[in-house]
Amino acid sequence: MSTIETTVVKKEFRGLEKLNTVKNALIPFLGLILMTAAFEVASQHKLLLPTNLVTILNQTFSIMIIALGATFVFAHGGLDVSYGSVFGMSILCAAAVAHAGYVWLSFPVAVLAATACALVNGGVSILCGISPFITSLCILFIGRGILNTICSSSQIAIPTYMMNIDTWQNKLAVLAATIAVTVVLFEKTKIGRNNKAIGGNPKSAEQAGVNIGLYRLIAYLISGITIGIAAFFSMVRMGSVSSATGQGLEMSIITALVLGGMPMTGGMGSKIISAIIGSISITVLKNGLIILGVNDKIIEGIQGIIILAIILVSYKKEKNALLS
Amino acid sequence: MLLKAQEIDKSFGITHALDHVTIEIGKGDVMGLIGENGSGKSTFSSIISGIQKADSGTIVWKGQEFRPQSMVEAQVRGISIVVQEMGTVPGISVAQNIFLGNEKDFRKGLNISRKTMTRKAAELLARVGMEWVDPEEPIDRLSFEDRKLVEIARALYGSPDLFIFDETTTALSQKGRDVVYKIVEEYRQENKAVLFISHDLDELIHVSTKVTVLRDGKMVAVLGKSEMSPEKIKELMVGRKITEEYYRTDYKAEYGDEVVLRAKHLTAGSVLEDFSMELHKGEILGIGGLTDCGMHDLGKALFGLIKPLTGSVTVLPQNRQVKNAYFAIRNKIGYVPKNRDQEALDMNASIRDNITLPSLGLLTRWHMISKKKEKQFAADAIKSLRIKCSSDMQLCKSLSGGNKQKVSVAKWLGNRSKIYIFDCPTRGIDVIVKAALYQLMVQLKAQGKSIVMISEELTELIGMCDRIMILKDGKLSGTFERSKELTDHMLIQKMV
Repeated sequence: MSTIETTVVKKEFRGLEKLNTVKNALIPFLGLILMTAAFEVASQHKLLLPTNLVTILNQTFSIMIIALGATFVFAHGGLDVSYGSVFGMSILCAAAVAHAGYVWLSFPVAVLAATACALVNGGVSILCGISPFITSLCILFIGRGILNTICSSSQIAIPTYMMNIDTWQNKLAVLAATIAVTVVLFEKTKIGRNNKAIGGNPKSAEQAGVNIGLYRLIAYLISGITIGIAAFFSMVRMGSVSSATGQGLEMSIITALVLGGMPMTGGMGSKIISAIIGSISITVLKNGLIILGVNDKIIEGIQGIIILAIILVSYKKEKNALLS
Repeated sequence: MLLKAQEIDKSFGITHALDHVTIEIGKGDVMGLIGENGSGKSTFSSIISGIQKADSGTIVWKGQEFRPQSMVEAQVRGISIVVQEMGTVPGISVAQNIFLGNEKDFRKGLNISRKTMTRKAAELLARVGMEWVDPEEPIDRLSFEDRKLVEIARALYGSPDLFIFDETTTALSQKGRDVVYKIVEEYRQENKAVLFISHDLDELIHVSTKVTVLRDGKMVAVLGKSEMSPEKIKELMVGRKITEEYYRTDYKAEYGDEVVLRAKHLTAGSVLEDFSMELHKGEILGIGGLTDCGMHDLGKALFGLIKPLTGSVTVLPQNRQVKNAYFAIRNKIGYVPKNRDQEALDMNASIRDNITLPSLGLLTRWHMISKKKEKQFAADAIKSLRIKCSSDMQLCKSLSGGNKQKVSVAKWLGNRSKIYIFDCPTRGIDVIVKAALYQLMVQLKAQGKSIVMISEELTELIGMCDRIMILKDGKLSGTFERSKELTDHMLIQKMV
């Protein structure tokens, strides 16, 4: 009798646990759907018009691609605020090469430049044992300084025919490929798993044979490559580079990850789907407010309030663990 | 009666942690509280001390109904607790830790008088044998054990009438334990009361005047001094007679000639100096000594976690030097650290993720981690060690201490490690899990695996090991072969 009872209770408990994990994964997704539905109705069905969908894709593109790479760094607990500036530097290098006539070189240069910046960012933090937030802050300032200096004296424009690369079909294909590769790397290989393990408990990761420095560096490498890809496509869309290129992008990335449900300390709870859902959410939010005709001067404020509300709903407070 | 806790009931979700438990503590009582991991000991003590609230039941304290809303309120009313987990706050001074929540007692106008606070802190520190600590020093400079003693000093503030030790001695070496025993004795003589929770049966019987035994959240017995015996308490805890043997039954040192791990002139960590050893196939090698004798550093050095200053650790027959943990794992060495919660496990990860992490390389298909293989791997480990859990996705932080330790050991069974380094494997776990681990060690030995067991418990070293090496101040001071004549006393002489 009692054994039957316990198995029933156990099964119920197991069900509950599963429900909980599913629920946690679903909240950001449901939030996105609700928000989309609300804007769709409020804007009298303008949000999901094909032309606006292309706009949303254009705006999501860079954020999502960078966020996908950033997930690896966030998973091991690294807070990085250098995205905007590295993105700008990458565009600067790629545009300079294209401007000089080596058009075919500009994509590899964009990726190489971004990767180099990201590796310096992560490398200094790992080798010198400095908080990754601090090194990324330094990279942010250095990159911004270089951009300001160069772009103030000369305007670097790329050949106009390069702008033909900027089609929504191309972007969708690149986006799909990046998602596929990063999802596999994050969920199915040691790269993702070890980075999550480092975020959870670096000591236990080390004792499980994880080379912490190496795997953190790999995370920065992936992050750098994704920044480079995003930068190149952004360049062919804008056609030139200015000192304001990429400004504030880092905050969009971090906000996207938070909205997507990414734990800020990293660990096994990190999911790459956070990057995908979060970046769409933040774009829909901005885009929706613009469609509704909200004055763009107060959009940021409203954005802040809505994000706070979403976080309050979706982030559970840590409950007291079972004592005894 | 000083304290009457009647019909206390508490549930966490579907877990019935306390099932109408009634415990009475009188003046001059030292009430021992014992039970398996998860039997409700800590839940009970945390309710009495205001850390959490009971679902139902009443507490009568000094003749009045008592419903503490916080630890601080309980302390003001005369009940102090030293909790099981780390209870100090990093980043502030020792004195600030001692008076956390009671700073208003030192108010002088708008300021807190640091001078009086420091003086009072020094007095309390002296009572726990820590005169050498400057109260203004940041707490982070103290070792794990010394921070535990600071917690005791904090609990002593306000001279409580009931002092609760929740598995405090687990984290302490003999020196610290003596401090605890002294305080318990003082309390008994001053006609105050102590609630003493410990897994160490001998210790519990030694210090308690009465013992309450809990099982699955229910109170099963209260024993007077004359009724206490380890056998009887164990039987009450488990609810049946323990027939299996606890330690090894043979008294012969038996192992192969083949050396599998060799340390040569090893100097590493803060004290370990010029230490050499050879671990043989099928051998259980014990390393004993006082807690700061360098034996824990030795464990880390053998696994490649700390780099030796001089000397080397070599795996044989490959004859290659252990450079880091990755290399050690590749060469089939497993390591169970002393600080389980801080080092061995990722508390916010599932049992499965913890168990599979060191073995991910074995669980791939087409270079990708196979979920199916992972599940199988974790299921095998959970089954072979009988880890109590609702599923392999349960988070480690929700497990009891004994089950956490099983997870920590399980990591190394699945990848067929040949050499096991266990640092205090039975620290803070109940007799049942202990017995299971000892049994496992005997099995591993029979399979020709080798074990280095580092332990502060001499009886377990004598009970389990083929050879025991004793360290003193970082140097080898004696080696003992397994024999029936070996006693604690012989080992202690080499330790101090």
